[in-house]
Amino acid sequence: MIRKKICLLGSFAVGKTSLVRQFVHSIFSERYHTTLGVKIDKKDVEVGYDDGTSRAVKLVLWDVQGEDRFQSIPASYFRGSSGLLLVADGTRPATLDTALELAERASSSVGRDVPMRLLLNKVDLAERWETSAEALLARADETLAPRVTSAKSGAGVDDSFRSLARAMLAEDRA
Amino acid sequence: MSEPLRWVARGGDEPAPGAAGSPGAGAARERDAESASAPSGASDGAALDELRALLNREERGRLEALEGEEVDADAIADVLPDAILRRESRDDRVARALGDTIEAGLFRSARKDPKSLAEAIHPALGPAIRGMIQATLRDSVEKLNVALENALSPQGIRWRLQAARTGRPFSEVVMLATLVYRVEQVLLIEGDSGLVVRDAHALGAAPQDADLVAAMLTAIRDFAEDSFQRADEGVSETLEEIEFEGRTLLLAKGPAASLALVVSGSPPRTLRARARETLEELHVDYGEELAAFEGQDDALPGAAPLLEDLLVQEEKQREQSPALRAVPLIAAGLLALWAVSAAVSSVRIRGRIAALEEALVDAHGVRPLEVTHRGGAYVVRALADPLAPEPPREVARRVLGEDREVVFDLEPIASLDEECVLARARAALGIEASVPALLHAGELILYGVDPTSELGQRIRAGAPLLAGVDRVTLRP
Repeated sequence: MIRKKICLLGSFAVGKTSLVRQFVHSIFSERYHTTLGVKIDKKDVEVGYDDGTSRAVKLVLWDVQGEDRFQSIPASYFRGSSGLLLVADGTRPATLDTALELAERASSSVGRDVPMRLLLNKVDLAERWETSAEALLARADETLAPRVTSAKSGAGVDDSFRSLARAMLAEDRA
Repeated sequence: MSEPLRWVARGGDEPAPGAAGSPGAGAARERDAESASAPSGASDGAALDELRALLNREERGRLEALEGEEVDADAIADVLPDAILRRESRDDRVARALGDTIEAGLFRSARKDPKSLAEAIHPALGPAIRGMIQATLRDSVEKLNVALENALSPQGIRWRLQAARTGRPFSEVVMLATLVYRVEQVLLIEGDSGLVVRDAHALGAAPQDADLVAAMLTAIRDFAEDSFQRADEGVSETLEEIEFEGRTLLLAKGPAASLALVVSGSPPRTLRARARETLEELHVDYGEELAAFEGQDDALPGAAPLLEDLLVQEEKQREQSPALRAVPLIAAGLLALWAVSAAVSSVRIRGRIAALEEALVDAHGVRPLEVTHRGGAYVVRALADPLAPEPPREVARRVLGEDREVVFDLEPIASLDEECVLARARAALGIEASVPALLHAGELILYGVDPTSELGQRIRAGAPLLAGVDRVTLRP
């Protein structure tokens, strides 16, 4: 089975670790643990195509520590990534700016052709969002295929990972 | 060549001096020929074709050589062996290119005629199998020795307690205690992504999840390099070793990939050098494949033997217990005792056999054929008169004693021994033991017997019929 590295990037406490836990183990915890350095997880995914065929891929997920003004993510963590998941917290619009900055920095490191997906997380708390989801999503380039997710309910999580996996394998096919 | 050139010169423009050998001369001549032949009709057309054929002969020959399969095959056959030899001296790409084809050919051959293939590889297969079996047996015996020695020994009990306390398998505790070191797992990791290119693990070892270990090691290494690298020195430092609870992770970094060795125990420094050499070899042999690696499954199959060669271990010199050390001495002592005892016993037996043979030879009416000692018993083979005064059984009892086991194989005979003839005469003719009798040179002499009495007449009539009696003399 082909292996691909995916990096999750974003500000601290946007829910990167929770998204991975939800995707890999289908669990969610209210307790917050900050990630120092990086956590590694993996999941086998079957990606289906429109022509009825499918391909299995082993996703090696690098859950990288959150970026803030005190600590910056080392570029070495991006290297060799076949796809990037940029995560922002809908309740904190500033995290979207950080995610977009990270997208720019990471793509200049790993290459512009590496697929990315932007996730606006915590849609389960949508009533607390200061800015509407539509307005936030509109700020992102369409190449990032922005979408809303909830690590708590699992909404959009599996689809987001699969969408990125499909895009990564499409790069291989091309 | 001279004929058509003359024809061209005759029918048209004279070619420029030296034009025959210059590039484009053929085409120029063709144009000249066409302009010259135009008004001449069909014969000129044939001549033009001939001229064209002659002018293009060299090019046409090359074209045919390129198109002709037979020529191609011959040309390739000429250069192929040398080409293969030259390439083999540079790298193993020919072997790798032919690997699948040879494998498929062997597979087909095996399916088609397994016997031929078996006969072909038998000379190589036999020693290989024997070597493998010997190595396996040696290993098994060694393990059995360790197990027996430690099963109920204080050391063994200590290890079991340690296994129970730490939650580790007993075998792992024993292994850690009996091995200096053991390479449990080898990972070949792509440099940037931290994805596993290939991994190998030792038999019986419980390998860690290669994907997670490889990625985490890459992250830790990157963290160490980013955090502690001193840019001002301009030297590329990298993380080489991580120690954790009796295990050491040895890391070797190359331009395109890294090697990680999971080692239990204390690895020697030579192992690190060996890992680096293997990584260099991998880069030399598979540099292109490593650079092009994008997470493919079962990548670099040819690299597997190189990784497996790193799965080495070294066992501690075992100190034998005093009891075990004494075993060979005790065995040697017992063996010597047995040898001396057997020698003494053999001498005694031979003496008894000689004595018994002598006694049997001396016995009246007995002819010994063979006396031996087999299976703890004496065996006597002899010819014996049933009327012998001392039968072989009594002779054996007298010489060997009551307790020795003796087996007899006796053939009955009528002996001409004096004692036996007299005994036979007394039994056959009813002569009482009180009647004095003597046998001398075939003459039976009886004393106190009246020749006219009934006994006397019976003796005279019957005695000459007895073996060993030629005539009878009766003395009243």
